[in-house]
Amino acid sequence: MKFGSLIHHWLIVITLLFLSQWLDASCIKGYITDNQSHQPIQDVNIRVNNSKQATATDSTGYFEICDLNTLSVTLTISHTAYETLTITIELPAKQLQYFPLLPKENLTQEVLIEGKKTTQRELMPGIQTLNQQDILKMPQFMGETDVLKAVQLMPGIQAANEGNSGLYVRGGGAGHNLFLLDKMELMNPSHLMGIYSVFNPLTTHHVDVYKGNAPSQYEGRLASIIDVASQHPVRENNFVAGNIGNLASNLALSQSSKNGKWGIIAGVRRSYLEALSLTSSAVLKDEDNYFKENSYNFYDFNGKIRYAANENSFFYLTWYIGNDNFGINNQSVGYTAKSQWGNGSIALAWDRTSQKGFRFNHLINYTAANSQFDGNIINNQAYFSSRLKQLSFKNQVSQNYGKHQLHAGLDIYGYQITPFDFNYIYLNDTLSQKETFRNGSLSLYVGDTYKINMRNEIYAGIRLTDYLGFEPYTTVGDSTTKQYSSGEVTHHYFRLSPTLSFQHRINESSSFKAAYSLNQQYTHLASIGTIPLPNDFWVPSTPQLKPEYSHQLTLGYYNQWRGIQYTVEVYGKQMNNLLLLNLNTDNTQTHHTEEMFYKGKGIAYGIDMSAESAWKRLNYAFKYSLGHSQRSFNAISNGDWFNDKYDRIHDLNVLLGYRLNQRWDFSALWIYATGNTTTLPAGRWWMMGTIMNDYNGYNNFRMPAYHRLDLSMNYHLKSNIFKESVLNFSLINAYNRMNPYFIFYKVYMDENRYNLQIKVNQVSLFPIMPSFSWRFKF
Amino acid sequence: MKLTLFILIALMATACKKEIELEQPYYEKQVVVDGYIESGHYAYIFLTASSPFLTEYDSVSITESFLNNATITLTSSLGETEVLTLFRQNTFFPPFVYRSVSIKGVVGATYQLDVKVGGRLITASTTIPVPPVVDSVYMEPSTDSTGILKSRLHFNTGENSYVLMQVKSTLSEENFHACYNPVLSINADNTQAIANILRSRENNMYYVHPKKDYYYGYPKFQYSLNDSILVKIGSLDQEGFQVMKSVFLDQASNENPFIFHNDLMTNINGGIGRWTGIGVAPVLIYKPKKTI
Repeated sequence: MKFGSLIHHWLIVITLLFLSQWLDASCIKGYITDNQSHQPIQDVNIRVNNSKQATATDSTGYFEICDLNTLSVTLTISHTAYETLTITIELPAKQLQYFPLLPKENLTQEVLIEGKKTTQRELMPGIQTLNQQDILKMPQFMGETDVLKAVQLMPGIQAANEGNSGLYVRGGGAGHNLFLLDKMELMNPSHLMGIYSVFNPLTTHHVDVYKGNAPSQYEGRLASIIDVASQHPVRENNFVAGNIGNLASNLALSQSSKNGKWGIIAGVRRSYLEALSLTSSAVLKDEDNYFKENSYNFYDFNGKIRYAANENSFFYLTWYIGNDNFGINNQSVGYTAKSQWGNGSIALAWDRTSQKGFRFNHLINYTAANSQFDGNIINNQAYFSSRLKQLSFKNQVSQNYGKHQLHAGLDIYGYQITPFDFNYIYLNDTLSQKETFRNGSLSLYVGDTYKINMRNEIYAGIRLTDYLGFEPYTTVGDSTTKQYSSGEVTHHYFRLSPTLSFQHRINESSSFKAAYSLNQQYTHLASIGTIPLPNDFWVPSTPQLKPEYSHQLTLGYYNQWRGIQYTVEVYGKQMNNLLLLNLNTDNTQTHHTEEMFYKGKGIAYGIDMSAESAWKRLNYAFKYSLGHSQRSFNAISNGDWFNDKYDRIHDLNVLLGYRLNQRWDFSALWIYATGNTTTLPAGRWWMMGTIMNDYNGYNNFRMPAYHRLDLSMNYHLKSNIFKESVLNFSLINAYNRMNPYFIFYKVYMDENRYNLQIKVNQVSLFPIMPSFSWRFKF
Repeated sequence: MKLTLFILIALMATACKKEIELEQPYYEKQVVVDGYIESGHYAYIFLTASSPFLTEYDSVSITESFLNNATITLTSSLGETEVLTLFRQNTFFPPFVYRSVSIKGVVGATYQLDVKVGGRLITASTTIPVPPVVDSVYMEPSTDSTGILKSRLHFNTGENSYVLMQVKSTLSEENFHACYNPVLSINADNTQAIANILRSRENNMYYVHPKKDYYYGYPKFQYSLNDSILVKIGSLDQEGFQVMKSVFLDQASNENPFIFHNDLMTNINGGIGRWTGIGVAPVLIYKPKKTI
């Protein structure tokens, strides 16, 4: 099938869908937005005075109240973080209303854990939102708060990942998460081996996290979608802000034109580990100076330009560019290497609302990710790089009709991926491997949220994707390569991704939710080690590497009792076509990328619980997950099921916050998690006079439990210059717990070679780590 | 592997180590064959039982792991058959060895091993390929006093070659043992190669008194320019190469958290270990240059 005819086919379908319209004059429909940031506000209560009718806004800030049989109604619009608004509206109402809310004065400053957020009005289980204040109040790691570290504190998401850039959600793998920044897809979400994420906390407005069940507008990932939104650059939100920390500094600004039509927000971060190299030279000998032999730096620059054509039409140009560079030059052992990795993305979006209430979102996005490694070990040279380019065009229309909230859209993707460009010179041999894959996809989706009655609500959505591969494609054993210009499709996957969700409100304070999703994933992350590394690479679905897919069922119960909000969610997930990179293939031959993988399946199930509340000046939250995650690969241990490396039976986070007065506030976070699994030899045997290993399974050992206490203290400085000036003192791992990073055996021998001692050694990365930073805003 | 090694080094610079206790999981003992037959030499078989890794080690338990009640029959493709004889050999470990007394390895021949022990039959087969021509060993200095040992090899078989490199340092007072990364594969297109013979210890154990090791404090992989070093290079068949590569790669990765450990390869049916035919080239000696 030709590419052009497929596009034509899909465009006809989507055009027909867009032509239908709905309107209901007995309703009031509209959006609630933040008066300063113009961002939509979720979970705002809208109550019709002298009536039992009430509703709440969804994640887009939208609400509607229907069946209004009077000439006018008075609405009370309230939210804990905003001033309550009371407004009278004549009926029939204007088709779409906009209600800006004023933030409460005392909440514009630094706040502690409030326990204010509620998820029970969200239709789908497993969805949570963090706003910027939630992120900034977390204990700082090396002088900076981090967006993903805050996300990791949610139940069902693993929190303890020192030296590990991966995110593990409900039994999924590190490559099973979709990271979006203002709808731009970022392939590598971390800096500095996972110490920081690529999301700048000073420009971030909020983060939506979907733990396996998501509306159909999202391209599938098996585990989660992390959707980060930057603040809108609007007149009421002009600022210059910064954070000066131990390892890096951060500067952000938001400015807008006088007429409010133009605005820009941008943030830039840069590490200064080079300075450590200079200062360490003064106190350390060269041979003891780690920084003399190693260099590391990273930077990122992100931003958004907003143009308001009118009150119903907005254009956004958003971008992100970031890079990490690492170098090692150790002449004593003969290693020299440079490694670099980064992301870049740019998007142009147009959001508009028609007079009849149709909301259109169009976005064109180009994303590129790359990593390189160039090293030399005792005259053997290794070069490795990976490159991904992705161009996408997304269109969505949404409308509300009576009890329906409908959305539909068309996404078109084009990919060019060179996963493994490898060149290795060893002795007289040069081993090379390079393949470039070209793929595309067309997705059509539609979804509807239907309010059956005041207590029951249902969402049904489906995403149909046609995933294509184009020439050139070299089949295994076929040395010929055809020309791309022929346009022939080499392979083709047609997949459905349905999502079904139901919510039943038991009463005012409790609800029950259920959701099922079949998620499809077409681009796969190949980890070059057993721990995710920045040089991990992406591979597309090919004839031999089929799309990964998962079934996930989630049930949730949500209750608010005496000011404490409880959530309990149970999930089960079955994963198929999982891929595991096998770099231990015989490297005397050039391999096709497709041949480098084990193929398998996985299951995960568990229960996530949380309780959050606030009492006077004290805020607290308990988040606990009980889960199990297993894998099976035919080529490993004869296909026997084994525990996933990140299978954690218990995962507990306890957060406490206390606000002493306007100047001082304190927070504490305690994390406990079952140790990761690891593969160690179970037996030993002799060969050539030395001890060799024998394994009796994969991930057959469990490391000691992980736990640590983080403390944080903020001192709010009085200033006539700054709107905000906060000194932060943080202590990560306050009781200096030596948490396991990996463990290995050491066999000791004395002069008598018959006397051997076996020792188990544990390597830990981060001891107690104090940090200091100054955050300001003016 | 190289990449992860680099990253490991960087991580280790900030890492902290401590000893911990781990529980030994259930482990079923295996019969281990550590056997080889070199061209022009007798066959040697060390037959032991494997042990749970975390159990105590002492001379008694190690000696008890040796299986000295086996019947081992060696058959060659040249029509020879011999039941191997048990010898005590104090220069190597474990100190007992089954050895042929009449059959010697011949290039091109295939050798079948049948081991009867504890009511079980364990079998293995190997061939002895044509050895490479080793025309020299020399030291490429890295510093004024240390260097990397190298060897120039020639191949004339027209087929892929698989090389095993063993080494013996005089200053370290050690036996012949595999060097670091001791196996190489050479494509059929290449008629010659320069091999790095990287220094490693005779075993992969840590010394309780490390300073007694002559090479304590030396740069990794490098030898003293004053050492006299014997180098024994041989050829393996493809299966033998894959087994040795698998075992030594796993051994070298013991302290690398990024390496994917999977089932090790073996060419022993009914047990674990290796039965390796080696076409050996004459031993060459690197001798330090005389200084006045």
